[in-house]
Order: sequence, then structure tokens, then C-alpha cells
Amino acid sequence: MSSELLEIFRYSHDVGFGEAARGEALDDDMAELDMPPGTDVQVIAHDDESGWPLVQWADKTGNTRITTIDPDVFDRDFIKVEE
Amino acid sequence: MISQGQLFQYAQNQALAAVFLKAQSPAPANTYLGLSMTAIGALDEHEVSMAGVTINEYPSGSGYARQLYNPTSPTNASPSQVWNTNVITWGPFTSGPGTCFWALCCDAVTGPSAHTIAAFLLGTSRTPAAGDSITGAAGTGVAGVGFIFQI
Repeated sequence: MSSELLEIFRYSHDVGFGEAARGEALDDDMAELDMPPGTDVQVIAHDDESGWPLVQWADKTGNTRITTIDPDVFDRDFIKVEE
Repeated sequence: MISQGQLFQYAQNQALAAVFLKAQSPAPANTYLGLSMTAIGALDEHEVSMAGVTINEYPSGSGYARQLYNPTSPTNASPSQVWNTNVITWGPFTSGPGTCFWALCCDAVTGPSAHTIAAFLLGTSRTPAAGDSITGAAGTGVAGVGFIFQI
């Protein structure tokens, strides 16, 4: 899969992805692993069973992560980055 | 039943076919680590795909996805080993997916048809809540650190 062909989306919520899911602040350890606002992601596939997008992104430590996103959340909170 | 660091039937077959020159190995590609809720002692080594009845992978509708394993090249030693080069982190989860006991290596980022390769027993079971992530350490080649496999 060529990453050059994948569109980039930016997480645009005002709190981290995990924090938004929980509805309250995460402890320090989990906040460090959260997807912060402004994170760029690429849709690399869609889940075979749910159809949810699988997005690849880099966390604060630089590690590559893959996360499934509810399509409604994706449409609401992830904005396409124009080239 | 399978034990820690054991190859599944599919991978045993692939390995023997390759080293005894009965078939060409599959082309290099990514492999992935998924998380399984199967209890210790109940995971069947005869499973050939992630659709197996004893696999019990986390549901994708929780933020969960399989992560890149990205192992080292096999060491030039006996036993020969591979291990993950980076920290591996699942999540953040958007709902509690249950308790996981195993990390399972397979050959596709999604789908029940992914072939099962190997099983790693987690040091401690994990039960993430919404917002949590699960982290596995990078390997170093030392037993008990990261997801190390030897044959």
C-alpha cells in the first residue's frame, strides 16, 4: 500500500480521542497514549466486519498506531487536510 | 491447546514447507498483533485463521484494531529468535472491549480470513475501559520482554 496515495485527515475535536470517548479527563499515563487534537491520520483500510475505517497515526512517542473509528465520529471530528 | 510463543498449525505448515524446500515462502509483508479474550488453556493451536472458534478477538467497534508487529530478522543463533522492535499500543478504546489474555500474530490488518501465525500470552490480563490504551513493551531479545518468539 502506497502511503502517498492515502488522504490525510486531522483529528479536530478539542480534547483527545480517548478522553472524548470516556467523557472525562484521563489519568496521566493514559493521556500520554491518547490521540491528541491536531493528530494527522490516514485511512489505511476498512474493518471487514463493521466497515469502520482503520486509521494509522503516530502517537506522542512516535510509535505507529492503528485505531478503528466510528464512522459518525470520523465524519464529525476528522477533517480532510488539503494538499 | 496452545502455549506461549507457539506457532499455530498454519504457520507450522508454512515453516516446514519453506525450510524443506517444498514450497516458496510467501512474499515479505506486514504481520499484525491482535488481542484475544480466550481463557488460558482454551486456545486451540489447530486454528488456521482469525475466524476460528477459539480465537475470540476483541470487537472492532471499540476503537480496537490489530497493530503492526514489525519483528526483527531472525537471529543467527540456535534457537533463532524474532521480537518486536517498537512499543505496541492498542487503542484508545471507545468502550470497554472485555478482558484479553493473548496477543495473536496474524497476516492481515483486518478480517476473519487472516491466517493465524503465533500466540503470545500476556504477562497480565488486561481489561481496558473507554479512553484507555494497552501497551506492550518493545522486545530486546531477553525472554519476557516484548513479544519474542523462538524456534
